[in-house]
Amino acid sequence: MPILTQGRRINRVLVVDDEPGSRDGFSESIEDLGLDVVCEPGPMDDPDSFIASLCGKADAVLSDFRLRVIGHYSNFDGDRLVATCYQHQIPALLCSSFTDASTVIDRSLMRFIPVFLPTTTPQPEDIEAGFIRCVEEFAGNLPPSRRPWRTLIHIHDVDDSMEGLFHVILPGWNVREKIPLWRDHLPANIQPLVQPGKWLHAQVNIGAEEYQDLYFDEWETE
Amino acid sequence: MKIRFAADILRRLGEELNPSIDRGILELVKNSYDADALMCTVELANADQPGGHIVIKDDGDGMTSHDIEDGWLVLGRSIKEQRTRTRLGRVPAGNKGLGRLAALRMGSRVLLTTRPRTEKASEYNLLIDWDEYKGVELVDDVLLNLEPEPRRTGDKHGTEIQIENLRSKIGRREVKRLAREMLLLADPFGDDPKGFKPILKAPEFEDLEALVQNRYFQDADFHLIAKIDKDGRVSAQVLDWRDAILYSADHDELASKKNKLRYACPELTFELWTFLWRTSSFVARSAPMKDSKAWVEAFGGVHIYQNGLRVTPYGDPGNDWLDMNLSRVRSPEERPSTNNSIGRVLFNDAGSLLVQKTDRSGFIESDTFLEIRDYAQDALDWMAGRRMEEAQKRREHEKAEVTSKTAETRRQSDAAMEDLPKEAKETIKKAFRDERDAVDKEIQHYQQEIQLYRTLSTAGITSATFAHESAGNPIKVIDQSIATVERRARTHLPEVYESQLKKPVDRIKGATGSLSVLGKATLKLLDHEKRRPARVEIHEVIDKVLGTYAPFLDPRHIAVDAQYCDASPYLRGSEAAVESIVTNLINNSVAAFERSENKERKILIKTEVTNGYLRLRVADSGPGIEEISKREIWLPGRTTRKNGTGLGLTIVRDTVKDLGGEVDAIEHGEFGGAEIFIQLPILGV
Repeated sequence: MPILTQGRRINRVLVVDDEPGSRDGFSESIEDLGLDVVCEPGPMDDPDSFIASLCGKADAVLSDFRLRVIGHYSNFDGDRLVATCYQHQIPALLCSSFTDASTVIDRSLMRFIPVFLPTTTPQPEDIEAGFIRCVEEFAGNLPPSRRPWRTLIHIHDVDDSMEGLFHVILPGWNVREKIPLWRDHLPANIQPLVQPGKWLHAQVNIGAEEYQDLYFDEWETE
Repeated sequence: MKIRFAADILRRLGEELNPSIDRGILELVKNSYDADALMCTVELANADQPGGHIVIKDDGDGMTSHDIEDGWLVLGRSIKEQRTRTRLGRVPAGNKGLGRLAALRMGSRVLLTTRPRTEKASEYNLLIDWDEYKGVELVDDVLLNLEPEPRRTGDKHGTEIQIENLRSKIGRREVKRLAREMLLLADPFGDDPKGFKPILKAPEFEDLEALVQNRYFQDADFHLIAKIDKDGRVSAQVLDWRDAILYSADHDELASKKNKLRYACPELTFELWTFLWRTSSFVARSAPMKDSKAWVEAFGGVHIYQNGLRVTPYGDPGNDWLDMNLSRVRSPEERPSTNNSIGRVLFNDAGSLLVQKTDRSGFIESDTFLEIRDYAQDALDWMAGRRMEEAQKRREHEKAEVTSKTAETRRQSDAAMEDLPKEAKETIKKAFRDERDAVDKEIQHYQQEIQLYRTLSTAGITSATFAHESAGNPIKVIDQSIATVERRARTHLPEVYESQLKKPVDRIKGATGSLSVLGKATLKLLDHEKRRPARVEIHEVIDKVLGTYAPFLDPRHIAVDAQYCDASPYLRGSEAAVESIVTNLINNSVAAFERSENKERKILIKTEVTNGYLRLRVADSGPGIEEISKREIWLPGRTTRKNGTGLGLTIVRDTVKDLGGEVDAIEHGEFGGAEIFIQLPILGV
């Protein structure tokens, strides 16, 4: 039975995963929800071409985070794919049990990833709730944990042992927790400003309870 | 109607905005610079006590009555703000006149005498008596009288300011600071004969002046010259103390990390001279090491010269605007610090791209300033990278050299022995042979140990790769498939599922759960964040290890009894170090249980704190230390377990030693099995 919400109908879901067996696994969860499933066999060159090819094929997307383990499937990971879908108002869920996902994910993209299920065995009801949440956000209904605020950010340290890694502290969120970020995930004009002790501003959802759910967007140079 | 100022504003602007006495005097010296003076002397008379006076005298262009009235006496606006260059092409350095006010108010009276270059026969005198402002309400209630006088024959153009009856003394420390600032003001390291020469008449100045004139640049081990051209393109080279080029780089190499097409700042040169002061290599230099050390101690740091004049506080003691010391702490090898280097950043900025703060505490941190700092740091990073490469090559070369030297030494000693008397020869030869055999064995032993570490590292890397892979793919597929089987069977065959399928489904789920936990445990060990030195809460680390190990220990029926002392001991080190101690001790116990007939498998982990030390005891109910001596358990490769590495306890011992602690063991402890004692110095509880 299709999902009907905010005047929108989700009947067919595209499953994206580089592992064929896993695509089948995700498909079965969706089928048990009563939705139709199509699988993306790859290869995928860039998210925009993917979006163009989606037209008429599916109403929503469920993607794994790591899409580049098995060769010749995708040139990008699931975070970019789901964020691009969101920007085109296509409901999309990201799933992963990858241990380091929360560390390596691009936090500017997290703004456009409303649902990140930390599992590869999502239950049908979780999938349904996830798609409904996406559509709610498209209608402008953001839960408090996802609302952006202009936030003061303190660059705590730059990690010399790992190229490009640095830590920030958000005094307005939690003065004790250091949050890892990657320099190359920042806009080019901000990257040179990453120096220990520096204070910057960006839009951050400081209503989030866990650091894994924080996004950083619209960085300011002043 | 108009806004007027209370006389008290002079005190507020003068004294309260003035950061220090030396800064105020420097402002007057800069006025001399702006007046195209070549010399400017500052004389302190009885200034070490209140009531003394200061005379600032220059050979500049002097001032006309118009200059005095519309410039010198106007606060908050300087005629130099027009930024037109002076007669000698200097970019004016004076500010809004507040620094000058601060200096003039150091005494109770100021006498200005000035002879303008454009009026050959004129001299002007102006007296400001600050006490007169105490009795009036508004600033302009006091009228100043400018007295023109005919110039005496022979008196040349210039200005003299006498500040009389000083309100407070100028201490030795302030004089020394003033001397240093005056010397550094006009880039004394440059070679401009037409340059501005400020002089302070004080013994402290003479000492420092002698030091500055000696200039030990030529003795520096490395001389970095980094430039930005007018198009924002950069280049750099590093010279040795003989001025031979060691390394050079163009824009593409220097800016590759940040992928910058250009640096958005004025054309500039950044030079840095770094001294290693190694006794072994500091030979054939122009002066003894102690001289260059004293010189760097007095003038070290990276100074900024804007339009030929120094901008404070960059390069002052304690000012490390390029974070050189921080970088050196993080990576001590081949990095300069403010204690062993001296440098300058020179640029001309007629367009006022960089503006100094009103209180003279440096530039406003505009994009241009940040870009300059960025480039200087990029150049330092580049130099450090090249020096690291060089150091690595040197180490490899030294290694090869040691091997060849050893062979040569052996040849020489063999030859020498041939000359010995026959009766002594055989005895000495045998002694030498035995000694060489012992050394060779030791070397062989170390080589095996290194190889063992490398093999284990490779095993670790491989298991991490597999851990990623198994969590990412095969386990995921099994998980998803069994979840589908469970869900569909529950829906379509509820009775059959409960009676016949639930148990095997739960078994598969339990097994994949354990597998993925083990994979995650491997990856957790590799978390690089744990390797960074920081405050480590010992109980927290033990708890984390036990949490990670729980799915591994439970199926083996191993019970852990963690008995912590009533405190939270912590030390400075890396979490990885403490973790490796605890992990290896648990691994050791787990391995021991496999050799034990005791059905009760227990591990005791107990902590106590005494006299600044943490005592950690790990005891198990295994067979204890048998078939190997207590002393040998710590040696690498010694194990009683087939296919064991014999490295676990060696790692424990080495790690504990690195943390400044001690290890010990007893063969049969509280639980009957081995008991290991670790003592670690802690920072607190």
